[in-house]
Parts: sequence; structure tokens; C-alpha cells
Amino acid sequence: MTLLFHFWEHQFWRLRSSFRATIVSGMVGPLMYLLGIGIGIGSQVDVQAADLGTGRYVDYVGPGLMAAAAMQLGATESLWDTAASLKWRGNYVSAVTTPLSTAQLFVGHASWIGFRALIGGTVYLVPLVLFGIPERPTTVLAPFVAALTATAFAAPISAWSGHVVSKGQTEQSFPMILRLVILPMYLFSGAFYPIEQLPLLLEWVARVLPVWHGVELVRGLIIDTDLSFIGGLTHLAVLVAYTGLGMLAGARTFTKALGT
Amino acid sequence: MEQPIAAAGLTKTFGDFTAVDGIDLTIEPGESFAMLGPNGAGKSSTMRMVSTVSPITSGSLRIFGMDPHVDGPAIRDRLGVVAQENNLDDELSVVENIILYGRYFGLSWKEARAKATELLGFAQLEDRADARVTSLSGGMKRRLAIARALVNDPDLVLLDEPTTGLDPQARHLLWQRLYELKERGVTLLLTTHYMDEAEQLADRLVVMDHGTIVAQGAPAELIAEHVTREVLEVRYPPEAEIDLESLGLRLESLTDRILIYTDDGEATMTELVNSGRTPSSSLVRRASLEDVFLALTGRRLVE
Ligand SMILES: Nc1ncnc2c1ncn2[C@@H]1O[C@H](COP(=O)(O)OP(=O)(O)OP(=O)(O)O)[C@@H](O)[C@H]1O
Ligand SMILES: [Mg+2]
Repeated sequence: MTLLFHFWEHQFWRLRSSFRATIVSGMVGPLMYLLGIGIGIGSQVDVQAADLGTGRYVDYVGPGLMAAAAMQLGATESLWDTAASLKWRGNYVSAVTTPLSTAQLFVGHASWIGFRALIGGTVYLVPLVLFGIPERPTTVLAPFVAALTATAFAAPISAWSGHVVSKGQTEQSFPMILRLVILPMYLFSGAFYPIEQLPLLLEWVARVLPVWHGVELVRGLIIDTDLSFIGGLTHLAVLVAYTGLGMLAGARTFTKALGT
Repeated sequence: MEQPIAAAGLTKTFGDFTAVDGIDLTIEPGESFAMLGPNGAGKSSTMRMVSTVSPITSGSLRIFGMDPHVDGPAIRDRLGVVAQENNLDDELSVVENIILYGRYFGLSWKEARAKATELLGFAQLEDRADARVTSLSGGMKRRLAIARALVNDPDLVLLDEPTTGLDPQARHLLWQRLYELKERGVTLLLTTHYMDEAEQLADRLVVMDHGTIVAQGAPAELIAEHVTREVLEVRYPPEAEIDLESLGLRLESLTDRILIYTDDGEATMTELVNSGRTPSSSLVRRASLEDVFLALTGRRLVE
């Protein structure tokens, strides 16, 4: 545990010069989305007819975007950046010559991305409040779910990057993952409209993949929806399961990537 | 102290390629030990197994009496690892590279900072403490990598080609630092392409080639065992057809010159002149580990 702490400390120290920029972009980015999609596109949406269960479209889309943004962070940080750290950047290659183990390194790696999503989600509460969106006190828990949504992507995708590095493969699969997996998931995440609107097959794909669970849970924590306690726990369990399985896989692929 | 390194039949394969082919190696506390060998000999592969980062394929390996597969963290706690690549953290300043690395070994910030200051002095980088790593010269980066590896006061320091790619002045500075470490009783395991480096720093060495150990001993022993005391280097014009074989001397023909192994270079030279084989140029020198390698493998260490 102390080793994990030192890993986070190390990562924090590396990024501290860019941390303010991260926080600012964590505000500005979602604000743009809220304005553009929430208000702009929202003006074209007949909320009553769409049966979204919220007063305004922005109330629907605002919370969902927190989880969707966390997914994007979790995915993008797990590709080139992760591969570079495993290959030529000094941070991971030298960290495993200390008492830190490769499995601990992986847990630290994924949870560090989760921590950044936590910061992002917390910062994002400001525009949410400015728009008068939150209805429930459980809103304060939403950034933690955002963090878990990020790790549900970061752990498996980083595990894949570890595999790519350990096999000495090129990174040609990375843009494909973003374009063919993450982008569609963003659109089919339930952030913008209920997934019940999708064709049945796609709806089930969305249900199996983690992002929808993050979106539903975050929304249920921030505004009044028909999400039940059990429903909420189920979403949580799915996010935990993806994170956990990703950690098991990643501990192995990082070990191979750093120690052949 | 326990034996820092004890390896028997140590083997590392990558697919069906054998990089390290059953080597036996023991290193005693306080000893300074070198692995000398050309590119691809398996030096780094051995180092990476000893550093516990790379799992062994077969054979046995004990570091301080512990199994690297089981006790990796406890072993690494006592190691200083300078890999072939510096693996410095470009996002951190010079001094932060040492401090944040030291934290993994359980040093408090205060201790880590004090240790970093001390080590920057040792590496003659005090005035660069707050510089970006990317602004350092190659020799400075190497010294920083070594300084960082010493942050935990290691009992065993692994140095994979500590001076490759450095200019002579930077190499001599590094040798002096490594010599100081040795004087302090730190056990050193280093790899090198350079025989002069091995001669300078190593009490004992192994010569590796194609994943196997082809010779081992103290530098002077190896020279005595495998080559003569002196080497006479002679050159003849390309068109000259000189028969040296019939003199019954031990020869090694290189592209541009011929090496003659002899215990008395001057006497052999006189012999050549007297028998009408006067070379266009000649040089008598002491035999070195380079000659040992050449004698053992028929190839030169640095191509
Ligand atoms: N991860 C790997 N996968 C496949 N082959 C490898 C791997 N690492 C090393 N090798 C091969 O193993 C052999 C020994 O490599 P190693 O790096 O141990 O040599 P070395 O003695 O350190 O050489 P150099 O002086 O060039 O650093 C080489 O032929 C190399 O190509
Ligand atoms: Mg090497």
C-alpha cells in the first residue's frame, strides 16, 4: 500500500506542471458540451415526447456526460501513453527496479487514471451546478462512479497495451480501438438518449459494456430517476467487475511487457 | 553477508532462441565482477535476470540467497540497477529523479532530499540539480542514472555498459566514481565491450560469447592462460607474400595487420628482421583481454 502511494506520488509529481491545465480543460470541455449539446441540441428536443423523465434535455445529458468523459479519459490514457511508459519513458521501466512489483504497478497505473477521472468529475460538478442540474445530495458520490467508469476502461485497455508491448507489436490497433470501440460506445452510452431507442442488438451490446452502467448510475445519483437501489448496485458491480478483470489481465501483461 | 549472486545453469530463451545458455556464476561480497562480450553475447539478458525483472527460463539463480521469482521485492530493495538504457524520467528534474525513486525504497522526503544532494555531489551534478533531464549531456545522464541507482545504499550494483557511447574524459570520470564504490565495499557486477574497462574495474571477469562463458578468471590470469605476455603487431604491404607460418609462432591475422603472440616482442622482431621478413611497420605492446577474446573466439570484441 505504501508502495502504491509512492507510485501515485511519482505520477503526480511528473504531471504537476500540467495539472492546472488539466483542471481548466476539465471545466471548459464539459461546459462546451453542456452548451452545445445540452442547450443547443436540447432546444430541438421535445423532452415530454421523448420521455426522458427529466424537465430539460440538459438535465438528462449533463450527468451522462460525466461518465462518458470518464470513459474517454480511461481509454485514451491507456493507449499510446501507457505503451510509451512501458517502452521508453523512464517512469515505469525504472519503477520496477524498486521494491514495487509489476502487479502493484498495474494497480497503481489504473487507479491513477481513475483518480484523474475523479478530479475531472469533481471539477465538472461546477458547471453542473451552474446549470442548476443536480437534484440529489448523492451528487457528491457521482465523481467516484466516474472514476470507476474510467478504471473499467483503463484496466482492460491498458492490459491490451501491455500485451501489444510484450509482443513487440506495432500500435496499429490503437486508433481502431478509439474509432471502432470507444467512439460508438460514446454514442451508444445512454448519455444522449435512452438506449432503449437503439435496435435490440445494439441495446444489448450497450447493456453488456461498462459505459452505460456508469452513465445510468451517475445520472441516478445526480438527478431523480427511476433507478432502484438494486439497479444501482448492479451497475456498480459491472463497473467493479470490468475493473477487476482488467487488473488481473493487466498485472500479467505488464509483467511480460517489462520483464521479457 | 550472503553471496550476492549464485547462478548455476542459468538459461534464458526467447522463443526458440537461446540468449543465455546455461552459465554458472558466483560473485562474492565486495567483489567487482565484469561480463565482457560482444553485441548479443547475452550480457543484458543475464543482468535483467539478476535484477529480478526478467524471469529465468531454467537453471537456478539466487541473489543474496533469495529466489528472484519469490523474493523479488526484498532483493530489489538491496540492488542498484543501472540498465543499458538510462530510463530517466524526462518529466522530472535531475534532483527529482533521485528523490522520487528513493521514495519507493521507503525514504522520507527529507531523507530522500538529503540523499539526492549527496549523490548529486558524488556524480558531480550539483549545479544541475534543478535542470531538466533532457538538457543533460550523455555523460551527465549516465552519471545521474548511476546516482539514482545508489539512492538505497545498495549492497549490489548492476551496471550494464556503464560507459558505452561516452567520450574518454566522461569514461574516466565514471571509472573513478565506480572505483570509489568498489573501495567502499559495494559489490559490483558490470558488463562491458571494453577490455580496458574490465581491466580497470574488475577483480574477476567472465568472457561471454553466444550466451556461454568462454573463459573466466582475474584479468591477469586470463591473459597468462590464453595469450602470451606481449603482442607484436606487424603490417606488410598488401602485395607482399610473407610466410610467417613456418616460424612456428602463434599468429592472428586481422584485415589490416598481423598479431604475433610472444613473450618477448623485441626478440621476435629481431628474428623477423634477421630472416628477411622486415615489416613495413611494427608495434610491441602488452597483451590485453581483447587478445584473449580474439584467441578464444577468433573474433574481435568491438567490430
Ligand atoms: N526480448 C527479446 N526478445 C527476443 N530476443 C531477444 C530479446 N532480448 C534479447 N534478445 C536477443 O538475445 C541475444 C542477447 O541479447 P542481450 O541484449 O542479452 O545481449 P548483450 O550481450 O547485452 O548485447 P549488447 O552488447 O548489444 O548489449 C541477442 O541476440 C538479442 O537479439
Ligand atoms: Mg546489452
